[in-house]
Amino acid sequence: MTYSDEKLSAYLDGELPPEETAAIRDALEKDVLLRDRLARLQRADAAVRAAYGAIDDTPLPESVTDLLKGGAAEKRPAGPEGNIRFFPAMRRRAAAAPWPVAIAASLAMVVGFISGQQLSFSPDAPSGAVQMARVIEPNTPLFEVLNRGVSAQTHQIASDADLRLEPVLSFRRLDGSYCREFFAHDANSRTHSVACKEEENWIIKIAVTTSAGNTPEGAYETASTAGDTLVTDYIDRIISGDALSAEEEEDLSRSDWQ
Amino acid sequence: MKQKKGDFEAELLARLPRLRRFCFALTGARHDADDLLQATVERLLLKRPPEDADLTKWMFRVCKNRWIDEIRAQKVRRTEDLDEAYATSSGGEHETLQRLTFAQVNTAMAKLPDEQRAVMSLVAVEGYSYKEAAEILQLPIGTVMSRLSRARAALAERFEKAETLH
Repeated sequence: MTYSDEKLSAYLDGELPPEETAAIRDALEKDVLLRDRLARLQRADAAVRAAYGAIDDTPLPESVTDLLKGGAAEKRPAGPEGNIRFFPAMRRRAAAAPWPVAIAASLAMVVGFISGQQLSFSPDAPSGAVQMARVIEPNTPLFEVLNRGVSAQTHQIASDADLRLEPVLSFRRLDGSYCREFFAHDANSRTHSVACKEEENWIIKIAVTTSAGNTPEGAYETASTAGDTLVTDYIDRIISGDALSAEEEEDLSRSDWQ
Repeated sequence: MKQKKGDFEAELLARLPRLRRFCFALTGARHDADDLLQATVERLLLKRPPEDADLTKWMFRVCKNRWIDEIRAQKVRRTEDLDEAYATSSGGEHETLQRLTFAQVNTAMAKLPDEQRAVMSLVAVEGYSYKEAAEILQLPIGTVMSRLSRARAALAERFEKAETLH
């Protein structure tokens, strides 16, 4: 059975019915060429997402926020939003630095693979399909861990015995919203990721998965290190101030990270 | 449901970072993105949402239409700029971990047909489902699916080419 780019692309987005999703997943296990084709498409996505997500590291233009703040102030005269401070100059990387979005495919490092396949299984979806986890919606296991899980502790996902989640730290982003860095481990791979709370959902901003399968000796460590650098560089670009303390984190967890 | 004055502005403000990323993915330049964002917000404030509209989808739709208007006016200039950007974007011969620069990603995106770029920006950058993207762009879901897959395949090919130039 061969699959078109269109099918693979829809698989990547969690947009296929469950039986087709399962069939492609089985085929991926057996077919290295199919895995390569999927990785190419994923890589295109990851590059584009990282490239354009980077605008988050500069404050919104005042000419635009001023248009809206008059009205907003009536509703919210006080509150944390009123005190947002930006530190773009401190945190911006040298403009000439190359964009660290590409990944050596030979190291079997696949961006977003785990997040696409496992982390946000959504039984409520009309088709019952696995949803792409770029948007982590309320009432999913990952959402609960991001919302309530204490950093530096390991959290088991009840519906998936192999999967462990480990929030590393929480921080405030330049635009005033909050983000969490976390690891997801299963039997064969490890995903290092950052998710930010936007409106009611958690949004995966970057996710780098290092798979232990099919890698030459030593390559796993190399790939993990390269992946971690991508993620920590990304955090450096978007963080405002320092990581949050345990108390701050607890308060925010109670207020739904608003 | 009637909205109080101020609610609408606050709701827009909360969605502004997402809308701005979309603007950046469409235009490929930060100052163009912020210009498009401003033009979109001005239009949104002028028009106000239709009674039964989903605010987020409506604002993305208005934004995409502003962008289409803008590029139709500027098509010639843009193509020339891009060819130049492409010519200067290779370099960094000795890197062991292959990298793509922002210019390479951006050039590849700019070579996509406008409609493919819009779908790519909504689904791959903003994480919209096919159904949501179809509603925003007012297209059938099947069209979203095929445009997206063509866009991804074309980008993947251009990224590989860009890397072998090193």
